Amino acid sequence: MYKGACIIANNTGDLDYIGLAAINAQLIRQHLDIPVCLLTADPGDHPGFDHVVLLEERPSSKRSMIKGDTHITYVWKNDHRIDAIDHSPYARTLLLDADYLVLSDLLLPLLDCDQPFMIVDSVHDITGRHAFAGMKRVPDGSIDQRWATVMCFDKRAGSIFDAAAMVRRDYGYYAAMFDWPVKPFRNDFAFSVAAHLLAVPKLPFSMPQLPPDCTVQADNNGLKISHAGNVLRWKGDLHVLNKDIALDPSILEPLVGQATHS
Amino acid sequence: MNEIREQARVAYDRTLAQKNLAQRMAARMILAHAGGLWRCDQEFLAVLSCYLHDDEIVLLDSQGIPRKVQPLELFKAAKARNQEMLNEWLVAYAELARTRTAKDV
Repeated sequence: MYKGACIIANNTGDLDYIGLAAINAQLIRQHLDIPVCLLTADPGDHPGFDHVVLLEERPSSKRSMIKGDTHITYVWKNDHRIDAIDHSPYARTLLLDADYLVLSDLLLPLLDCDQPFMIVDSVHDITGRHAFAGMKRVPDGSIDQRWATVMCFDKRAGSIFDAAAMVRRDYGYYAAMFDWPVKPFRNDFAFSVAAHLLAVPKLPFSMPQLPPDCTVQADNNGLKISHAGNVLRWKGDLHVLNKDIALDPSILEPLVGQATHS
Repeated sequence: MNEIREQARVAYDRTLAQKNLAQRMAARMILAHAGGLWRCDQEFLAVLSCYLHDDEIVLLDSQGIPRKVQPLELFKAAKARNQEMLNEWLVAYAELARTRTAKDV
C-alpha cells in the first residue's frame, strides 16, 4: 500500500477519540480517497477503518482544557506519535490527530511530493482573535514551534523520529532547556526540536485552528461555529480544540457524505 | 421574545468571513508536481509563462527547494488548479455576499 492516513486515538474517560477517528476516517476517504488506519492501544473491535494496529500502552498524563464556561480534566494518552513511523502500514503516511477534521483536499499535495517529512509550522485562529499568536515559537522563543497535528512522511524520515524520540526520552532536560512544562508530554515540542535540528522545510500554508472556547455544530452546509457572541460558517479542514466533538462525535455525522466543497 | 433577544445578541463578522475564505482558498491553490509543492497563484503563472518555449528549467518551489521542471507541463497543471480554485472561490464569495446577518449563517 503506497499512500494512506493514520489516526492515533485512545479513548479516555468520557472522551470518545476512537469514535471521532471513525467519523474522520469517513471524511478522509470522502475528500482524499485514501485508506485509513487506526493506531490505538485500546484492544477491541474498531469498525470503520481499513486497518487497525494495536500499540503497546505508553505513559499518560493529565491535561485540562476549557469547555464552555468551565473546564475538563482528562487523561491524555498522546505518547504514541513518535512510534508511528514503525507502525504505519503505508509507504507514505499522512498522520493526523483525531480532532483534525478533513473537509477538503487541502492535504492531498503533501502525499504527492518527495519530501521525506513534513509538519505544520504555522496555525491561524479562524475566529480572528489571534488566539495562537503567542505560539509561533516554543516557550523560550529560541526555535519555531511546529504542530504535530498534521504530519506527512515516508520511511526515509527515520532520523526525524529518532530525534523526537530523543526529546521524549530526556523530556525533563529539554523542558528545562526550552522552558516548557515537564508535564504533560507534548508531541508538538518534541517534533519542533527534531524539525529544527534537521532543518525541515516549511509548508506553504498554515493550519486553520479553532480555540477551545468555541462551540461547534455540523449540518448539511458544513460547520457552524459560535464564539463570544459571534457566529461563523466554516467549510474546510479544521483542527478543533473543543472537546465537545470527542465527548459526542455523532454531532459531526451530518458532514459525512456531503459533496466535496471548499 | 427570548429567541429574538438571543438572535440580536449574536453577531456575524462579514470581513472575517471573507478573510477566512481568501486564506482557505489560497491554501488550496497548492499543487504537487515534479516532487515539489507549487502555489498556483497569478504571479506564479506569470513567471511560468516566460519559459513556455524552454524544454527544461530550474525553479524554486514554494518551500524554497530548486526543482528541474518542464515549464509547459507545469504551466498547464498550475493553470488548471488555479482556475479550479478560483471558480470555487467565486461561488463561495457569492454565497457570502448573500449572508448579511447571523440568522443567515
